[in-house]
Amino acid sequence: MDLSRAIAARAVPATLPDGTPVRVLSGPCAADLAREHALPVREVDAKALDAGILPGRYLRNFMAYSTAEQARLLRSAVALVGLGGLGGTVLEIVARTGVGTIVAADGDAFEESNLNRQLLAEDGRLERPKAEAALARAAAVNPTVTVTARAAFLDAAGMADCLAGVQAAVDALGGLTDRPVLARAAAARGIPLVTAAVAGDMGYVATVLPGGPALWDMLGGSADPAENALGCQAAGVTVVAGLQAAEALRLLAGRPPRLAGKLLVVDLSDMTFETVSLA
Amino acid sequence: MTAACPPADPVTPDVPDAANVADVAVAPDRRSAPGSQGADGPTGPTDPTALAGSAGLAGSAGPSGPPDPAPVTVTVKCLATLAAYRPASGAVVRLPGPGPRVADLAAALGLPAAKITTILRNGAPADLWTPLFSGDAVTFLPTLSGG
Repeated sequence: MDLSRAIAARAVPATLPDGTPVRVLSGPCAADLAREHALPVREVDAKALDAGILPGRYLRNFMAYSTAEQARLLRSAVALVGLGGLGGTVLEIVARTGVGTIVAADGDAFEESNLNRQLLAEDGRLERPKAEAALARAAAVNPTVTVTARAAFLDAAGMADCLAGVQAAVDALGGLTDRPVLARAAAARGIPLVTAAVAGDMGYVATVLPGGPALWDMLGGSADPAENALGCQAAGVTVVAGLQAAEALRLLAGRPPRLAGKLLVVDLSDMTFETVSLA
Repeated sequence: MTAACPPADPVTPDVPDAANVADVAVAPDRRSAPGSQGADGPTGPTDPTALAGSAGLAGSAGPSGPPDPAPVTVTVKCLATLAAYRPASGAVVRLPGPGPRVADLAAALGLPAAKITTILRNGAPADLWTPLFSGDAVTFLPTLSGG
């Protein structure tokens, strides 16, 4: 039986909470079909979506993403550079949402001071590579997506490699040294870059399209950035990472970005969000 | 018998009034733009090239017209490490006219230009030379790069 007919045969009728009737392919059925047809589970799920059948894993995405958009996410790839406070949460969101291929990198290992905010940091992982934790977490929350995580601090060539074949890149780096390098690598490959930075209980998010403004020429003026004095706290970094992931998901789903040429400044001290045009 | 309840703090009105507006007298020796080569005249900084590059974003011109001699009332946010320079009165600052600029606001707050990376005025990039008008909202940011 060909795959499309097999998917249709295994799908079962269900009803969404709002009463919408749907057909659903469960995770175990998708895994069985993937084995039978020697395909990744995410491709079986994408084929189901092509036929209007919802993978059970993504059922509650249905009102946010059309079946075509969810299939597009499953067939998309994102580069995620940095797996600390921003990157750990971005990884969590894009993996759960169903981005099919995640190419991540971070050469750092966890230290105790990461525990206050970094989703991937655990007591049992101190001094262990962040890349290792990323692979374990992604496999735990969504084993059907393909994740690679290099335990390396990327130079310009490494960043160029990381960006090969992706449709969007996420700058989840810390510090100022490597961010302009990543921005140049993304521009050279013509890939949109969603960047973010945090300090204390505030931060910002911006999207740089190829040919867009050199963001870090504008925002990276000081050798002593504010996070050195203020640290970073869990609520702020998680909010900003959520915004960053939402923007990356827009790009990967084929929607126009909301922050191209703009800067969204978030300040949790007074619960304000201010979007600024950089053009 | 229980102790008397202390009087409640007065409610701060949403609309600024004379009670919560910092009426900032900008001393002549603080009118020069931080980073410029010397004091400017009583109308504020006059050499935009002295300010270029002091804060990273390109400037945006405000509406043109004759200078208004009346004081200019603006709201200001000083984010992250710049919070120490917030006006004691809250967010509203009154600057003497005519024609105050962002540099005058920073000077009135005692905020050194070297600590400012990004200036926003009414949701758009600005610089120290950007003129200010009553009702403007100015945000000062330092460099932040935490991830």
